Amino acid sequence: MTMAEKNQIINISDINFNALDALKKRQLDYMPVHFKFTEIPTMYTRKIISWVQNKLNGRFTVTNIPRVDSDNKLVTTPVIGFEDEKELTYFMLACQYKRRK
Amino acid sequence: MDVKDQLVQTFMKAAGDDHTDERKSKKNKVDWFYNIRPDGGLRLTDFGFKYVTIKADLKSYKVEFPKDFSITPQILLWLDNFIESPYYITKKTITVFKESSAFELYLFSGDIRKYGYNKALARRLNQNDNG
Repeated sequence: MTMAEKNQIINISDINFNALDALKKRQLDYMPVHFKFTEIPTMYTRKIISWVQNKLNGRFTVTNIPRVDSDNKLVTTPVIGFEDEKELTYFMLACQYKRRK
Repeated sequence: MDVKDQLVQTFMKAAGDDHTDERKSKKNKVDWFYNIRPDGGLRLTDFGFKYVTIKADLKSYKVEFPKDFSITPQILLWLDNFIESPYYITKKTITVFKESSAFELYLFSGDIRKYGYNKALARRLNQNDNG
């Protein structure tokens, strides 16, 4: 076994896997009305999704929300929404990609 | 709530209408968009275009098609799939509302056949990389 293969071995207890993961229902492609959301930086979207999949348990979504800016231009802002408000709070406090601006 | 619902509410808010009225929002969605399926495109009807440009007064970007260009059903399907901004199309021009979409169209000099072809190719390559 090479060194690279040894490094790829993951301890089974490190994997956080729940029923929603098994059914591939954790990440939604739309924003349900009861979800609470916050803006995220565009450049870290993939890293943020990976972070949320590893650190949190509930359903979430990453979508673009349209809004009109001060120049009357239509712009879309990437947002992340969580079903559980506690997870949004944890994300806001702990995710390094959210805090870095 | 899909993209069209969000857009309808954004337009109504920009126009100063009551965007919390759910019945009115649903009616406007049907009136303003050609394709009302959740995963359908964002092509605006005449009524929707007038509302957005005149009443909501949003900034729009008009791109002219090249000469001897004709719109085919395949091009309309490509536009439905690939343009991320609401758009309004006539025989000679396409009007979009997002700066990024307008810029992409300008880069192709308004040739939406090439634009759609490139987008389809990029999506195929992306799928091959992921799968």
